Amino acid sequence: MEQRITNSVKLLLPALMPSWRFFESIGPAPRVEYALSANNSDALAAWQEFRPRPQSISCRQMLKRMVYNPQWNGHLYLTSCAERLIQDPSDSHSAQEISARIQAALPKNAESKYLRFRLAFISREVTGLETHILFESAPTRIDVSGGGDD
Amino acid sequence: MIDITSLDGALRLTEILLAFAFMQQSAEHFTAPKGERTMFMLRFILSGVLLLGLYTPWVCLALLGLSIVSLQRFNGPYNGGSDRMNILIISCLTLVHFMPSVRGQEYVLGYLALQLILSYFMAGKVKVMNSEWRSGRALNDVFAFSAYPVSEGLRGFANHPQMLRVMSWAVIVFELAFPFSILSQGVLVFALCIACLFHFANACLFGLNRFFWVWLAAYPSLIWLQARLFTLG
Repeated sequence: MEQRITNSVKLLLPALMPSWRFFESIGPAPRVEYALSANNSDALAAWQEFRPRPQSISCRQMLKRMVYNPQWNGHLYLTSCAERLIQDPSDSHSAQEISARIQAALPKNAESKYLRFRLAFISREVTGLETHILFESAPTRIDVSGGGDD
Repeated sequence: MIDITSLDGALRLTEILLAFAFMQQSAEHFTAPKGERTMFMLRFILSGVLLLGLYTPWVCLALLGLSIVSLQRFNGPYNGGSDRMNILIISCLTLVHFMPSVRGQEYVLGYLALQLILSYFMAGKVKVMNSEWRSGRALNDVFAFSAYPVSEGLRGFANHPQMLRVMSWAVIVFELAFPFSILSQGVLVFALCIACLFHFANACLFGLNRFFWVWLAAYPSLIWLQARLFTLG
């Protein structure tokens, strides 16, 4: 109980006394990628980006997203989870959140039984943009019930 | 009609705008898994009660409690700075309603207004101190590879470094100059309109729609503070 209160205060304080240092520096940017396989020892299928952004968005879609933009805000949340996971690789909460949200987006009749995800970070180096894989999860069995509850 | 320059008017308008912002955010979780969905449905209903102005102190307290539960659920903010502004506003509103004196209420609303000013000024300060922002390189990187542009097509802005340099300086100058707008009501209203356009552009280009609505909810506090300090004496 005491730890829960301490944790809440730690989370609450930055909101009550914010630093407001938006976009102070542009660091490596994460992309969440995933691969599916039939069993946990299979050679994995090709990695694919989770929810890649569209090539373009119409003005009408932009206006609609002003009031309702769940998928994109979910994407921003996963970006935060990816950054937290790299800062602290033992952060099981962030790893579970990423895995659960990918699973929730998979088609319910998917034949694959195992999911693996990885975090690719893009950064500007002297030679140009470079991508580095900084985290790769172990295969986890896909919850066929659809993961209705948290 | 709400008189935004009065303490009661500014508080009521803040409640209305925050209720709308909370309802907008909560609706985005209605398709989430059950536990998360339940939490945000409860928040949506409480925000509706806040909008109607019923049992306001207790509704604010409940919404603050839900914000803390949300912080625990997501192990931090779900949506970065916009969640922090949510919590700051609902904390101030809750505190105002339990303050024993009008002077205490004014200090709390004044604190919210001060944080609104700092939200622009500090963002400008950290940018102007960074050579990559001054050269336009930072904004170039935002478009070139950050997670924010909402479409691949928008990454093409990275091919216009001169334009991005001008845009960077426009943002820096606006953010640094923002605190001076409090000296005149007319200038403040103009600055808030520019700030709205800035948030609107961020929402369109980077999908930061929640920032637009929740920052709007903090504006009445600053309009009130300006009148309190410089107009009403």
